[in-house]
Amino acid sequence: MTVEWERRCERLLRAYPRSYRNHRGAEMVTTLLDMAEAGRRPSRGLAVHLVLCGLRERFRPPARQPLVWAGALLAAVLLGGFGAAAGTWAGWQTAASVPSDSELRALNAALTGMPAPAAVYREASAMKTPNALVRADGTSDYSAERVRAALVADGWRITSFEERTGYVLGNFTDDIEKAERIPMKSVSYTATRGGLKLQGDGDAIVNGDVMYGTEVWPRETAAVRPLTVAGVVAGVVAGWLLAVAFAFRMRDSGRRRGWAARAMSAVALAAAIVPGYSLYRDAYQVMLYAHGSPYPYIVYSPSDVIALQPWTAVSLAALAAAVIAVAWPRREPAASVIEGIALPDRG
Amino acid sequence: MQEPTFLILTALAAEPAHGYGVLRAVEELSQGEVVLRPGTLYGALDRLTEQGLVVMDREEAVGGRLRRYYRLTDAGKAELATQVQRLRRNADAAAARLRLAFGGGPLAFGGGL
Repeated sequence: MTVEWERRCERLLRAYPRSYRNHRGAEMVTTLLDMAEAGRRPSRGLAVHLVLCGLRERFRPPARQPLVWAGALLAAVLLGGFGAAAGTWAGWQTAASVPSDSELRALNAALTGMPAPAAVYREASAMKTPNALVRADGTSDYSAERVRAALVADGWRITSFEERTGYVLGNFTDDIEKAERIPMKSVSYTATRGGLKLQGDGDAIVNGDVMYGTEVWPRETAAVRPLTVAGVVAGVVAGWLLAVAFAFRMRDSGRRRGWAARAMSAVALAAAIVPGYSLYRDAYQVMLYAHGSPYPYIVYSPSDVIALQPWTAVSLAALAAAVIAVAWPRREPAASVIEGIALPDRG
Repeated sequence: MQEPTFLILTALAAEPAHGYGVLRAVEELSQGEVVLRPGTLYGALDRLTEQGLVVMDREEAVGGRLRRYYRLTDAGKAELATQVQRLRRNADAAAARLRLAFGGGPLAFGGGL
């Protein structure tokens, strides 16, 4: 019973951070064994209590280090931004997938009657909606029946179809009054297929020049916005936990290594502010995006004017340097009596 | 100061004690009303050590088991004395009010305060 309980205690204490176990683990096991020998039977409640206390300890920064609080707070906020981006991405994985380039080109060829390969542009809306636009300019005739038939044959349910007639001005030099009015027919159509939406338009000029553009994007699923929020929460918690754990590693790494790691961590956090800010702006736009999956639109993002990659690269490089500073193997001091009976470190 | 913290300081007032010794003493001092669990005890010991009220007295390794004994620092003794005075003052005040409420008669709990 004692050996079994001792093993169980060691397992339960793994809820505590490693630095805490190294310091307190052995004496806590002794106390738990003393309790068991005195007749206090190990219970499920005690096990839950130990795990909860251990998890709580993981959130506690080292004492008397106010800068660690500031750093952990900043790390939590910044990782929240990255978590938001990850949550948004995960949310869109639950949406219908946009057809491949070849599928879109095939649809375009059937719509327009132009078999030549068309250009496909893939972009993301302000909500990170993955959308694809297939564009084709060329020479062809126009047939409403062909457009309808192509959409229906590809599995689309047409929700609107509108034709307009008009003209374009052509064959003029400097006097617009003398320009030739060339008749033109325009068409706009929308359709749905499963979780996808489609919107397209075309201009067909009587002389045979046609321009078509058809865009496809998925409907927003119920997961996108909640997962964005969940990503922020998970990022904040992870950022705080990682910063606290790293602070203990820095504290126990010796003076020179510790200060080198602190300096590199400060650089990493400072450089991450720029991408972090941009990611929060993006998350804000995701949450504010119009409901009902309207035609994909974009809004201003800080990443339009600030290149985020260099800042992210600097941050990651500084972080890697900080990790190396504390994790690089060094000569072990001679084992003491106490270390000899400390808990086996199983990570 | 919360009651478990007060009792832990009290348990260490007379002589150094190890983890289980403190748990047992707290239970005895509170006549079974306060039963600390190890996670709470060591969390409190961490906090009291950081505040300079408690310090490790010695370590013993017997039969492959580590025992650490803790004792009060001078600051810990002063803090406990302050708490005792505060509790006594409050208890005296409460007892005096109760005597008034009962018309100056003997208190139901025997006037032990």
